[in-house]
Amino acid sequence: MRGVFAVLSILLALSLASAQGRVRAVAASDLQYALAEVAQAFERRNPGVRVELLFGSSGKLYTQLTQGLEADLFFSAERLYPELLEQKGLAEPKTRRPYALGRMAIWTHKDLGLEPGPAALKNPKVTQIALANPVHAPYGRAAVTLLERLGLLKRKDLTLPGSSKPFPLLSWEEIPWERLTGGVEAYWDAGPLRRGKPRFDFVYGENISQTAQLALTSTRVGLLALSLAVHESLSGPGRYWTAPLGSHMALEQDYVILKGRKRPEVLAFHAFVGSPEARAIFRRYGFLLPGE
Amino acid sequence: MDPLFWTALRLSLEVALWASALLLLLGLPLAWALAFHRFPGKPLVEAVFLLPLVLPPTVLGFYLLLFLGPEGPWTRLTGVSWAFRFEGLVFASILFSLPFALTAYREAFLGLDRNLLEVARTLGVPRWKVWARVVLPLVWPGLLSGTLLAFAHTLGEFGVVLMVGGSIPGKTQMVSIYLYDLVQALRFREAAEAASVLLLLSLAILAAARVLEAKGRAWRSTTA
Repeated sequence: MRGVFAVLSILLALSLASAQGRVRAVAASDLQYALAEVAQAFERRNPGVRVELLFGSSGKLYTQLTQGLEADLFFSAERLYPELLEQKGLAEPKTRRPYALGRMAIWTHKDLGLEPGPAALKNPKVTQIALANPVHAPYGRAAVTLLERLGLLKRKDLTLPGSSKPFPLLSWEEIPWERLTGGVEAYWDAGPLRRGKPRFDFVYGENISQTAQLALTSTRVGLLALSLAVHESLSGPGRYWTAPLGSHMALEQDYVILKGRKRPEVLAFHAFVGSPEARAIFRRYGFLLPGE
Repeated sequence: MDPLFWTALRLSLEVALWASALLLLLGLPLAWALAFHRFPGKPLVEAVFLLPLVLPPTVLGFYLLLFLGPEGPWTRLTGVSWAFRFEGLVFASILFSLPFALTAYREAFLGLDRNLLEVARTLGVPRWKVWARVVLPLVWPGLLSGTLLAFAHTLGEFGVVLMVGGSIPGKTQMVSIYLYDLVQALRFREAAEAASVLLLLSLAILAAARVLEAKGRAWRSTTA
C-alpha cells in the first residue's frame, strides 16, 4: 500500500513538474508554420518550457474554448473571437493584443504555366479556385473582398433577408457573412471568371490550411494566406502573387490569454510573441506587424 | 428553415441513393464470393474491404481526392476529374459504406440453409431460378437492412465528403457539411433545427430497416 502511494505521489510530482513547463496554445491555421517557428525560438530561450500548438479554424476553436477546451493562449485570425471571449469572461482582461495583420496571396501551381496574379484567374485553364469558406473563415472573407476589389466579382442586385440596405450598398464589415451559406455565386456575379470556360467552380475549404491542401492537390489555384504561400511546401510546387495592402478586408489578428492561465511561462510566451525576435519571424512569413 | 438546408439535404439524399443502389449491385457478387468461395489470400481481401471502417475518414478522403484529382490515376484513365463533383461524392460514398453493406450481405448469405440450395440443384432447377425462388426470398431482409444502413451512413458521413466535395453549395455541399458550417458560423439555433430534422430522418430510416427485417423474417418462417 505504501509502495502504491509512493508511486502515485511520484507520478503526481512528475505531472505537476511537466505541467509547469508547458504552454498550450490554440491557433488559427494560417499560423501553422510561423507560430511553430516562434514557439521553437521561445523554447530555445527558455529551456525546460515546452509549447504545444493546436491549429484549426478560429470559429471552431472559439466554440471549443467556450466549451472548456484546455488551452493557455488563443491566437485568432481575426479580432472578433478573442473579443467574444473577453465579453464572456473567458479571457484574462487586458491580455488581448494584435500580433499580426494577415495578407492574401493568389497561388497557382507551376504546372499551369501561368503568371500568378489577377489575370491568371481569367485563364480558361482555371476552372476551379479554392478559397476558405467565407461563411466562417476570415481568410475566405478576405478572398471574396479581394476578388470584388479586383473587379472579378460583382455584387448581385438583391437585399439579404434581415438586412435593411440593398446588398450592393453594404460595406465589407456590414455584410452578414455568417448568413451567406448559398456560396459566393448566389450573391456575387462571377462573370469575368466564368467567361470562356466550359465550367467554373469555387471550391471551399474548411479552414485556410485545408484550402491550401485543396489548391495543392486538386484545384491548382487558390486564394491563400500569404503566410502559407511563402512556405516551401507551397512555394516549391507553385508561385504566388501578393495582394496589395487594403485590397481586401483587413485581417487584424489578435491573441489573448485564457481565464485563470496567467502562469509565469504563459506570460513569458505572451510577451515573447511581441518581441523583436518573434516579429522578425512573423514578418518573414509575410505578416504585417502591428505598429508598422 | 433556411432553403439551403433543403438543398443540402436533397443532395445528400441523392448521393446516398446512388451510392446505396450501386453498392447493392457491386456488393452482392462480392459478398457471395466472400461467403461461399475459397480462394488464396481471402482473409487479406476481406481485411482490405474492411479498411474504410478503421481509416480516419479525412485520411481516406485525402487519398481519394488525390486519386480523383486532375493529376490522379482516375483522371489519367478516364480523362475527367471527379474531384468536387457529384460523381466523386458517389464514388467516395460507395467506398466508405462498403464495409457496412458487405458485412450485412455476407451475414445474410451465411444464414442461408445450404441444404435448400443443394436440393434445388439436384432437382435440376436452373441457376437463375434458384436465385429468384430460393436465395432472394430468403436473404432480402438482410440485403435491405444492409443497404439502408449504407444509405444512412452516407447521409451522416463528414470527413470523406469534406475532402472530396469541396463544400460547393447546391453541388457538393452535403447536409453534414452544411450543418458544420452553420456551427462554425456560430448559428447554433439553426444548426440545432437542421440537426433535429436529420436526426428524425435517420431514425425513421433505421426503424424502417428494422421493421422490414422483422417482417421478412416472419414471412420467411411461414414459407419455409
